[in-house]
Amino acid sequence: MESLYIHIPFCHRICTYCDFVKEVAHPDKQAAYLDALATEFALYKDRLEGIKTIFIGGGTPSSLPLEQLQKLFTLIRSHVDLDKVIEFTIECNPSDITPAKARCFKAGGINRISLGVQTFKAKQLAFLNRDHREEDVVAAIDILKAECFANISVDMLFALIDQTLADVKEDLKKVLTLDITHISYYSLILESGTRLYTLYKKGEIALTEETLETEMYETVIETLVQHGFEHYEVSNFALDGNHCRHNLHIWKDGDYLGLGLGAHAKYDDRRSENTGRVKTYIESINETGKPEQIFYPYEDKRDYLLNGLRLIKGVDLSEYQARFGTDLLQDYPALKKYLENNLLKMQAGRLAFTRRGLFLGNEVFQIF
Amino acid sequence: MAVKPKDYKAIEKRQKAIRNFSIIAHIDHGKSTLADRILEKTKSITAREMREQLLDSMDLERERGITIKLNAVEINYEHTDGNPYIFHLIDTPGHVDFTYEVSRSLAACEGALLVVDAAQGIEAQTLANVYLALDNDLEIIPVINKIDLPSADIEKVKRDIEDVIGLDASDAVLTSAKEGKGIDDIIDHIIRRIPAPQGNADAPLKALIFDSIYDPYRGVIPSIRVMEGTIEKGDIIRMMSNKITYEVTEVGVTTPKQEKRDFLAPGDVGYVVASIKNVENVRVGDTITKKENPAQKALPGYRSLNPMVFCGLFPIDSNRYNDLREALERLKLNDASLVFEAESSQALGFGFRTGFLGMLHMEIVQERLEREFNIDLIATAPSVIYHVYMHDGVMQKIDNPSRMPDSQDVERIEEPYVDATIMCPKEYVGNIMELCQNKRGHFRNMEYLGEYRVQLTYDLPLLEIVYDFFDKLKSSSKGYASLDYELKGYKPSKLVKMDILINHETVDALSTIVHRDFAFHRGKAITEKLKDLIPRQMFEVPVQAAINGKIIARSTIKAMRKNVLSKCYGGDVSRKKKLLEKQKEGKKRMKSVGNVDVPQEAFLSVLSIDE
Repeated sequence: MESLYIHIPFCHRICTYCDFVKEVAHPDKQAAYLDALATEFALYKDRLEGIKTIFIGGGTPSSLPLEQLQKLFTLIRSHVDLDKVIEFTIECNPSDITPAKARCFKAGGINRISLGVQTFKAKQLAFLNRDHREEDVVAAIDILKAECFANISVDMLFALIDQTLADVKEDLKKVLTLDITHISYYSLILESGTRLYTLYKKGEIALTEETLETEMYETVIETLVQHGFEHYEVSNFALDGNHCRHNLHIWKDGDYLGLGLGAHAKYDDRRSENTGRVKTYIESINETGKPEQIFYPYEDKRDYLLNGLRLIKGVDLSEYQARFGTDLLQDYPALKKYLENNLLKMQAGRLAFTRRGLFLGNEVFQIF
Repeated sequence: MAVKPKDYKAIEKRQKAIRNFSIIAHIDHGKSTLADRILEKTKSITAREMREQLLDSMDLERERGITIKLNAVEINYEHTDGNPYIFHLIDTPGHVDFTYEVSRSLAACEGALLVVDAAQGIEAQTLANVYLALDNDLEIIPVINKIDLPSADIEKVKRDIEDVIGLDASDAVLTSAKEGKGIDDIIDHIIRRIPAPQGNADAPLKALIFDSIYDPYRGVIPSIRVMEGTIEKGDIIRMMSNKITYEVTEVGVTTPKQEKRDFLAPGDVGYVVASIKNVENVRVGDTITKKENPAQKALPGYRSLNPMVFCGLFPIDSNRYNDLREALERLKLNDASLVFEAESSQALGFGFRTGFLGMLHMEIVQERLEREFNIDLIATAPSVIYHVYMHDGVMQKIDNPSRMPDSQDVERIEEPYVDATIMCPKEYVGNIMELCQNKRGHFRNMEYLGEYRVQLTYDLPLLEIVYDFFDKLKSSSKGYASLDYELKGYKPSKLVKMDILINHETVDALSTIVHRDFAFHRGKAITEKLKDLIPRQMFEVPVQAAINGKIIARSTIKAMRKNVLSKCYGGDVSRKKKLLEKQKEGKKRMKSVGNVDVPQEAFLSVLSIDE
């Protein structure tokens, strides 16, 4: 297996918009979780050979206390040959970054940091229930640099509530002053089961109007590209070839293993998802030796296209032919319409979105 | 009590014990609860059989708290005076759409309970029905209900009844049906004051049809009130309006179960089974007689009911056209006033032009089609019947705006007007007069009914009532105003057909008839509303309103610019698939008109626009 995802579902506080599996938990529960995770690791002993990318996501993995982080890294090291791992990412909140934690990451083998910045505007950060401010971001990056982390990515959000285009430009200006190599710039999505959703349902907030959101998205792309970032996926930008290898592998429909709460995996031509409840996860592992899971069918062509077309360079027709033994355009005659109205383009043997098509991706994805 | 056939003495004796009555009340003034209490008190059903509002049998009726379908119940009651009595309680629908049915069921009675809410007083609908009862020479017993309410004002309601109806309210029965108070008094009044039915059992048969139900095994079963003569199994009966004959296979009464009887005699209220296949042949108000020795004259008051409101009904899924036809046919078995014929629309495909007695009738039919038959529908905005006079002198009746002839061929258009009576507390008179003005009403009269209540009379175009008049009336009177109306006749009007174009194509299903002076305003409101209702498409879509090909209003649906899930959740492609499925599903529920996906609501947008 080439890629491994590990989920740490704990946070200091819950963000207004977040619908990932996460909770604010007592250290005892966190310890019990790590024990269960160790059991799950052992289950996949044979699959963990040849891992090239690891991504620890959450939740907020950086929120774990130092000793638990050390325990986690020890666990990983005992199952994975870190010498063969090319990219090893951990998601962090700026306010969690201390010199001690940075050293711990380094010792654990981490070589890529994904920092949740979201925005620099204090009022927005407060509304999103983030616990950091602009200066914490700068300080965190200084600490990470001091510990020789060269590959740093930040997560940003646009289309925030009451955000203006000027606000987005201000955020872009600030993010470009940071000495970083990668940016993920997402639009705020309303998901049920979040505080944001409740506020929306009560009519207390209005979402960003579509035309404005489009302008923001265009501004984000143009500004980052102007500053040398390569726009390589719907929401992702890399400087000097520092793409996220882990995610690239997933978008190229490669196999990956997912461990921990709510983690997704895809291998042996099927997809699985671990239970999203901490209690169930721990109990099912303690009682049956493995986590409760649900399985999804792997829809080969559909999954390949839904993922692959997210990449700006699109999918390679000959690779598709080699993989499935059929012709992409014959499999989906409806593609012709989208090529004609310029949502899709054919370039150097690859089928890819045009800029306009990228913005309207779901319209095209509906045909698969 | 058992009576031997043709023992006329016994029949006459029994007839003297019969009391036939209806209950007249405004919606939620407590009619159904009162009916329930009377049934309980007379022990005509056991508590186990008792369901809330037993007489209202359709689900929809119970949910909306109104009666659509008439029902009659026979109650045998041993009074404290030692004599047995037979009550027939004939229920009436409580909505203006069904006025004619009400008048026929009242014609089957000798008396009526007038139930008035002690806190709210008489409403327009109640008043209209009381007048119908007086027309039928019924003995009216005023009942003041909900006397326990803190806001009850019994004296005021009594004055109301005396002033407005001219009835003596001094011995009005005071009740609280909810608490079961005053029910004995009501029964006492029924026995003392309502006369026993007249009519000779040995005269030729005259029986009034006041309702019918459809039984899949036994056909249409009319509910009848026998006025003269007798009817029994084996009789060859004849409908006096159309001379069609049937052989009776069973007669009986409802208690509320159907119970077979040897025969029905004058005063009896019951049912007749005669293998009747077509509901149109047994119309409410018609008289049943016998083929042998027929009655010379039918009972007065029969008229065939014509629908006043029309709309197009189209299945969203065009494959379900036949299902829709079957569903309408099924509903029609029970509802002679429902008419429909095939219609095709360029925008919506094949469907049915459907006629209704009024707006409530229309809503009920649509709801039943969707709920009982699971057919997702698009209903076009309702229309009335226009009389279009052509230059060549020919008059065409047009019930579908898209069929309106070219304006250059038209000499004039006449539209139906109603005689509208509105009752409200005096503080809302200003609001309501303004509303009527805006709805092209002609003021006729204003009258104080007692100190606080006012009765306004207007001539109003039926078209305006069909639009949003009810809703507007409610909101301009905090719900206190009530309305009754009756078709008055046709008047010439400056009417024009307004077309709606979506993406430069005329959508026939969205055409409406509007008054010329309101056209610009309405065109603007509709195009704006459609802009909000039709989701963004991949290209910019103009929405235009036009009269005679001339554009009078325009709005623009901007092109969809962004529809992409920005985040791919840690390899969770199933979430993305769910979203895509949802978007696909949403599209399926829309009609594709030209290149544009138009949702169901858009076709009714012309109905509820804020002006």
